[in-house]
Amino acid sequence: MSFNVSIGYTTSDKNALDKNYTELVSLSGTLINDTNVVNPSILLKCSAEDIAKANYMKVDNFGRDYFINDIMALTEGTCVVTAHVDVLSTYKNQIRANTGVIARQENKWNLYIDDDLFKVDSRTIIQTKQFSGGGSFTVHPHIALVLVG
Amino acid sequence: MLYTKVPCIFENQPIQDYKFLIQCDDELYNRKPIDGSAVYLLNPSLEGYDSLESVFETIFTKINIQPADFNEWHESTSLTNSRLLQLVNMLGSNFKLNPEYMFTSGDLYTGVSDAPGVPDRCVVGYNRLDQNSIVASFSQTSPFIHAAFMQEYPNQQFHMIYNLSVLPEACINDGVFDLEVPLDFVTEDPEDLRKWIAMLSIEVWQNSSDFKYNCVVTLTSFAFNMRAISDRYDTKSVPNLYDTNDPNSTNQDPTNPGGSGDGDTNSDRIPVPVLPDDDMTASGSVRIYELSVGELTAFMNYLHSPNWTEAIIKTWQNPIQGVVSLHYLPYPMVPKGGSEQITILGVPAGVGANGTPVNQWQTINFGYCFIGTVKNNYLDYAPYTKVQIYLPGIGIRDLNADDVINKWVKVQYNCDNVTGQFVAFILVGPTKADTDMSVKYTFSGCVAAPFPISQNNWGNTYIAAATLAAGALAGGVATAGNAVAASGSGAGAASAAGAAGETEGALFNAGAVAKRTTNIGNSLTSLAKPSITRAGTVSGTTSLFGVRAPYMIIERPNVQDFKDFNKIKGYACGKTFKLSDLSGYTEVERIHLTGLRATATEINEIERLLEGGVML
Repeated sequence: MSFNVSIGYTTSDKNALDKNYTELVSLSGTLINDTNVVNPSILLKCSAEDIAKANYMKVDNFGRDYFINDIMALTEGTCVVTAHVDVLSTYKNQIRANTGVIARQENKWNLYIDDDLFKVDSRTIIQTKQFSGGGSFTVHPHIALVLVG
Repeated sequence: MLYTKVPCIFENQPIQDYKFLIQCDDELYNRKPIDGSAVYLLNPSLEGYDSLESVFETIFTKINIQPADFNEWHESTSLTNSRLLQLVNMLGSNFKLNPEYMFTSGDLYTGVSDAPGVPDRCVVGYNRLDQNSIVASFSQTSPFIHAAFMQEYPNQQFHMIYNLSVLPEACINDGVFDLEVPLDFVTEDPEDLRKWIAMLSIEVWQNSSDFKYNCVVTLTSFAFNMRAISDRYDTKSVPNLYDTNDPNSTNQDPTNPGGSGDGDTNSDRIPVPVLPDDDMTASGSVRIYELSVGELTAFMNYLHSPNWTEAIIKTWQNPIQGVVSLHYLPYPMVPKGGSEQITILGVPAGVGANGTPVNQWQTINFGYCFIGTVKNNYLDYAPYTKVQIYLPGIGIRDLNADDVINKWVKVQYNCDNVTGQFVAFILVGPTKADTDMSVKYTFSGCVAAPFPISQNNWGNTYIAAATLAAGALAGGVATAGNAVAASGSGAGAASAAGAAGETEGALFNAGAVAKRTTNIGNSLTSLAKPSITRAGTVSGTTSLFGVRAPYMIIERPNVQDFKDFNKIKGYACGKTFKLSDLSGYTEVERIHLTGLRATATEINEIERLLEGGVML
């Protein structure tokens, strides 16, 4: 069974849910035996040079986006692309609908929580601060005499 | 401050505990009569009370009811749907703050009426708990309250009464509610309004498509519904009441398995005690003088006169026995009169032997110091930031950074001029106002430097000084032990400190080092730095040579700033969010993914990636 494969590239962070994607070519491909939709190897009718700059692909029939791991030329005009599913991009909408306990965040944080990633210079800051607005003991001692009778 | 849950009572329903706090303005508590005149409560069960309008003005503002609408007994006013919703939402939104105590709508409307056709008779309200908060309570109205309404509005479809009550704390705490306000009660003391209880009832009902409301103020002691609460709120008949203030209580709140305390984070202010209102000089048998050097010389000349005739007289008179103490103090004493000639055992001490009588007790205010934050993060607080204070006449003492960071610190001494002993109070507060300052630490010391007036007296002084020196030496040894312990690591530190005789403290230090290492890895190695004692005891004679004013010593971690660290690794969050509400770098601590038509392998990979950090 053949299916359409969109071959292209992305420059986004691998861990980003939303990836920019530029399609290079749309081809017809077939799934090679003993592979699966998570880690597929797809036979494409094209030369390896045509898709040598690709690192990302989309297969609508599988409903998944993939990182291209390798491109191998079999014969002239055919090549095999091995890939791994990009679960973050594929399921981004469903992922975003979930709720979780957030350990670290770029924009929403609480800096009063202990954070072992803070780096501290060993040159400790040592401050001394005086009191103001009050008195102090005097240089001149004061003589107190206590008597009975 | 005792917080006790207020039970919710519904007829034919089991007793349940409900509790939450909302903040309100002081006006609710510090209410006074509007005209400032005497308060007359005449037949209070039947008429509203104008002066209490100010009491509930804050509430009116919150629920968007104008004060002008208020205080007409049984006078109905149209309430639009939107205003009703505001009212319900205002009260309801507070429930949402503590969902574990939230009423289900089913419970709210299950009150059983004795009067046919009355659909709802449940009351939700708030009871005052302390100066800044009132506590929610629920009660039930009696049917005859509604009877008049039912006759006038037989088609009513909705009926709810909100009681906003001001109750004395004792009533909430112990459930005793036997207060009876006499008819023709008269008082000129606004404080009485705190004792005598007031209640605002806001009654809302629906007649066809129109909503009506009615506001009534009565004294709660005549408000039977609140009395019903007190009657039912009997600890004997409710054995499972959970007293959050009793650490020994074995009663478990059946509706609260834990994780939600009573929300009490308030503190009672501890003021510096006023000086004793009487001292040794009051009887006249003891006199305290402040002497100048010249006056002292004249006095000593009198005591040790070379005149042999006077010496013979003094052998019989022995005036030196009248001298209780002669010492230096490092501060001027507060005079209680002008200079006068000293008399000792009833005999004038001679020409020039004058002195200024002074009080025995006095206060010295050393002023204020603000300890700010540097980074506005957790490193500004203990155990990462360490704070010490130097106190004249005492030395250096450790303070808990959590007590003083981002707060004002005030030092005040209460001194005894007879002995030179004093108590140092360290007050801490968010502002310098005395009403915000509260005593957090109390130390004692002595600043009297004895002045020898005879060989015997000097001998005592020398022994005292030697004892002080020995104590300081012992302190130094212990300090060395601490330093060794703190600079070592793990068990080695503990044993080193144990050898120095500071076992308990050293074990604490070692434990603290281990704990910090566990908590923060190797990043904050500066935390393992030794705590060095910066000063020994500075008291007595040595206080004359020590620094004469208090000061603070703050040791702060020197945190390195990374540019855009939050965009690369994020900062600690520790909250629950829907991921669609977030953007940018995110690490998920715990998540249970649902709604994905993905393979198990894919779900596991998503969870692993989310925990490792993704860009949302």
